Amino acid sequence: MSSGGPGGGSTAETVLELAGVSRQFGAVRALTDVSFDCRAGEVHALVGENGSGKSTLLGIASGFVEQDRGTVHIAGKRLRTDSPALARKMGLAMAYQDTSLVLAQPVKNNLYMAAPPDERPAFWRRKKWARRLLGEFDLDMELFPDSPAGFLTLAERQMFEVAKALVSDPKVLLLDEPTTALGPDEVEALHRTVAACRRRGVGVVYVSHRLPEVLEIADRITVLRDGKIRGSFDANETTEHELVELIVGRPFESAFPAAAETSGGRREVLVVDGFQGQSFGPVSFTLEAGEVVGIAGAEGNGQPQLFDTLSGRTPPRAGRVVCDGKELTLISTHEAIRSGIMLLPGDRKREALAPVLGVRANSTIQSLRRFSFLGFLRRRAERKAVKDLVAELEIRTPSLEQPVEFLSGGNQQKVSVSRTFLREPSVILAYEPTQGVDVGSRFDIYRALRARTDSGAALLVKSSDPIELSGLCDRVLVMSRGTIVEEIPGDELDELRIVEAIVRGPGVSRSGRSPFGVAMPKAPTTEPTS
Amino acid sequence: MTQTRAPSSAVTSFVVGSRYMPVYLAVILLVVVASIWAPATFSSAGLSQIALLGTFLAITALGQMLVIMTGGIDLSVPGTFLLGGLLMVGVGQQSDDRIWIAYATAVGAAVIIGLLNGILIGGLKLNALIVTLAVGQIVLGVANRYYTTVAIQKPVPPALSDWANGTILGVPPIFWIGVALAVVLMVLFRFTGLGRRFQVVGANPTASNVLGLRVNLNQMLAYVVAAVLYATAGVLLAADLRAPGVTVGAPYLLGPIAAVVIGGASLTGGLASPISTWAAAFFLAGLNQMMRVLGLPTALQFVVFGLVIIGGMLVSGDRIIKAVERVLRDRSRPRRREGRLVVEGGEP
Repeated sequence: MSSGGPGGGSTAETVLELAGVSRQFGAVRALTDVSFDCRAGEVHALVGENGSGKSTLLGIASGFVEQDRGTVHIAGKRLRTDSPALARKMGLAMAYQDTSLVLAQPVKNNLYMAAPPDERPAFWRRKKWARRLLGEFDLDMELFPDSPAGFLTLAERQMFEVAKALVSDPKVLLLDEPTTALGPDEVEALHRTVAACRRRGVGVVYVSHRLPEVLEIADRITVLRDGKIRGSFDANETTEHELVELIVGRPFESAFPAAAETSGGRREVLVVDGFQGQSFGPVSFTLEAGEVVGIAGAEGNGQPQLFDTLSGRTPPRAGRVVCDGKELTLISTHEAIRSGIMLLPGDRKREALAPVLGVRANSTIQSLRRFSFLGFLRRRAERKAVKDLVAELEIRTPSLEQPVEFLSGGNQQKVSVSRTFLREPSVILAYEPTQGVDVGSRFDIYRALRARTDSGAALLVKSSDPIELSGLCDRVLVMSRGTIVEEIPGDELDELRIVEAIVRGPGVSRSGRSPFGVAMPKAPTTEPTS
Repeated sequence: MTQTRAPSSAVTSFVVGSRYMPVYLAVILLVVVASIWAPATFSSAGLSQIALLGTFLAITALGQMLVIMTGGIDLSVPGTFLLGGLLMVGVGQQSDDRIWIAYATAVGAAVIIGLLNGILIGGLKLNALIVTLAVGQIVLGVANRYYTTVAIQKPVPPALSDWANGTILGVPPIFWIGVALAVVLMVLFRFTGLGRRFQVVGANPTASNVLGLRVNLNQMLAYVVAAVLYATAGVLLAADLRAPGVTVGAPYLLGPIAAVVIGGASLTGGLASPISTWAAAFFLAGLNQMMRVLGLPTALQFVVFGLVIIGGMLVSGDRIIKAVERVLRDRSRPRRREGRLVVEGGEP
């Protein structure tokens, strides 16, 4: 499949080289002594789970993130400061995952604006120029110079991001999860573009966790796990299975809290039926009291939208949700909370906490009624309750009044979790509950969440960490393109099984173009109520 | 179960409270400087001037503080302030029986203004700066028209101005109203659920929405209560002046904002102290009085005022907290606890 690929590697010029790069974010070691290179005319894939350090590596290479140690060379010259503009000038281009388009402007203008000043054509010739440029990279089939960028589908936008990156005629191109929003046809189109880059001698760094795609397009594959390089292979000398084992690492031994013994039939606390919202659905599932259910899947397959809609942040489009026997409209977060559905958001600083306020205020904000008498707070009772929780969850804070912005990520998350103890909701939605949390605190959080389910709550966990899912959950639902494609029951649950379900990719074929890049029925096929 | 270590609990409280310190230091500095160079500032006439001007500023500043706590800003103060005073004149009709009706009318008008601001900003998410500027313009227009047609050069009911010019415990009763309002707000924030929710909504509206708090209701409430406070201050000023002119509201555009900033409020919302804001208003009133005693030309007074506000920004609460951030930051490295979670990190 590749012509100028690995064979000629030793003679080809190295266009990107990272040597001994390390980076630490707070307590988390994102990269440890990583060396990585990409040669001209080569597609070098970087694979690993979410959080394995891929994005950090790209960030450092492109000058967005500063490394603590190590060097970056672009086209043989050293990148001395962490400046994206400089990296770009030196010949590095990156296609972004979230698109950076001016939606009201046509494609040609967006392309024109993306080009460095000396590459720009005369303004009145930009249409012809855009067409030629798109043609060069096999993108002319998909994109028309005159259509406003806002009219492009998500997939087309993704392709256009690549085109924009190529405008500056780079020596090395970084693609960060370029196929997340794409269906099979578009993946093929994108790969044609990548192949065109290879022919022109551009070095392509292709970051993805979809192994079949990676094996198809890459010349070399490097596996990253926990911020370390775990191996580099020629694409035609390795197998999917071998890679999966490397991605996951060796068997992981851990002490996840066990579920309490249950006796007899369980009570259904949440019934979700034909539920649809923005970029997901229809999904149907049931949560029972005392149960922990995981949501797995590659990023960008509707998981955040499912959580947002279930918690009342965005209104649902169709379907039925019954919590504790009561049917919900889910038009406001207020209603969701009152009915017993509580969300622990993934973006703690932005969505869960009032950073300038103290631990106490943050902990009791959803249960003030419990501590109120005629509108006045019973401060002593409040303080005692929070103090007990701080001890129980091992929240490390010098005082109950410590502003939570000055706590570590793990302790911030514990403050967020402590709310479920005070409010005692029947359904807890935990979105990436341990993201950015150190190993020690993780265990405390698992234990705390288990304690909630043991006292009768149901827990839905979205996690990109298969170890976490297999250890914490009683069963796991795998999401792809907005729907649940597979349910892994408890007795089959292990991380290898989850990773395989994710990397195998969805078998769903796309029917028609949707503005969200996910397969959705052309008309609502499910009745709103039954 | 491990007990949390709390050796630095006092330190934390001190550091967290340090954002409100500069205003008290400024007050002390002002007292010292004025006693040396302009002792007449604290003559009995001077003190009574400070007590009155400080209170008008303090009450409007408390309103502005509520708005700033929601992350907004209110530039409709002068209009609402003026309208409040004029309604006391116009509806009061110099009759002592009509004082409360007139005040209720002023409050009613303020509620409408506040609701207009609140719905446009809290409900429709328009920009606070521009909305309140526009609403303030409309209100100012209405008030001017009202002045020329109804309230021109007429006094407030005599009983009200007699009350305002009397004394309670040696100071004008207006002063005590300012104190009472500051204390009420302080109690509200410290001891009630309403105040707590209001703070959290201000500190992080996005999170508050996730948490199921009613963000827009809280924002609307801020603008409504603020407008009522402005109108109340306007009524009190009218009572003091007997016959308010049409320009009485003008100084209350920037003054209250200055007081809130110097009072240590976080301009991103959520954090503010009513007592500090009140003290900051008196600092500004004292400064004003001192400059008048020193005979500074009006032009120079403006310059000094501007400089003080910039100075207030430079040592504002947010910057202080940033400076002492290192004390507060959780520097403890996560320690891997043996035997709990074993992470295999073997090389391939």
